[in-house]
Amino acid sequence: MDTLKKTKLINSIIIGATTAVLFIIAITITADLYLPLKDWMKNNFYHHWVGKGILSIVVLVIVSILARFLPISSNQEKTGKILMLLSGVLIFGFFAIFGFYIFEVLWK
Amino acid sequence: MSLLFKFLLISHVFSGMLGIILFSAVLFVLIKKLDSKRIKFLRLTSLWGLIGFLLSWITGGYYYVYYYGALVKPIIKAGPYPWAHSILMEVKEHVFLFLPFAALIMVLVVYLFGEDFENQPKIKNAGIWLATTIVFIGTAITLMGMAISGAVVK
Repeated sequence: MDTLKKTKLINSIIIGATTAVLFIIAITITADLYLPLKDWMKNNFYHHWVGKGILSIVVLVIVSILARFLPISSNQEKTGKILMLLSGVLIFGFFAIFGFYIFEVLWK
Repeated sequence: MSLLFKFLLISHVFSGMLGIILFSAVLFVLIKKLDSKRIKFLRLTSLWGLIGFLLSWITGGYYYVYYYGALVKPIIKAGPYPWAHSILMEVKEHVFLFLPFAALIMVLVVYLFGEDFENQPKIKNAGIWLATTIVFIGTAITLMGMAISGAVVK
């Protein structure tokens, strides 16, 4: 596989994974604040946690495919940047979910 | 607890720990100057780390859905440390969903760009940050799991 194809492929999957992590953060907080969403996942996927897992995989696949065919410039410098963005989103997600559940227990 | 759930719980802990140890190895090797031998090591180690996280995801998920929710959660909620479920387990079960995605990206980066790392310091540095993040989240989740186990008091 040539470098351009490799870069394009990895960049699109990193964008897909970053979006999937953002989706998990959003659906976790939203489903706890808006119970019909949690119930919808329970009804359709047996358990809300299973629903979040399956839906996040769907988000990864769809966004990766879309990003692959979007006319975004692909170079290795960009790969470094979006990889750093993924790490930042992971750390943000960890503290956002932690903070949210502390808030739920202490102040709700 | 049936033999199946004992097996699932032990597998969840061991495969998760294996994933963290392997990604710690990835991190420590990535910091060094890479030659073909170390690149091969990174590829195998990150792949097995991903497999460890996926196994931990599946076994832990099955245990959580079919055993923990019905039998363990009510004991914790009625005990002296209900926050162990309300905060720690809620955080653990959701943040755990991040790890297979992060690990998959690490594997792909190492497989596709392993040879280019020394010429592309920005990708290598970003890989070091991603491996650090995986180890940090994995370790935090492990400590939460230990605290949750300790909160099961009848």
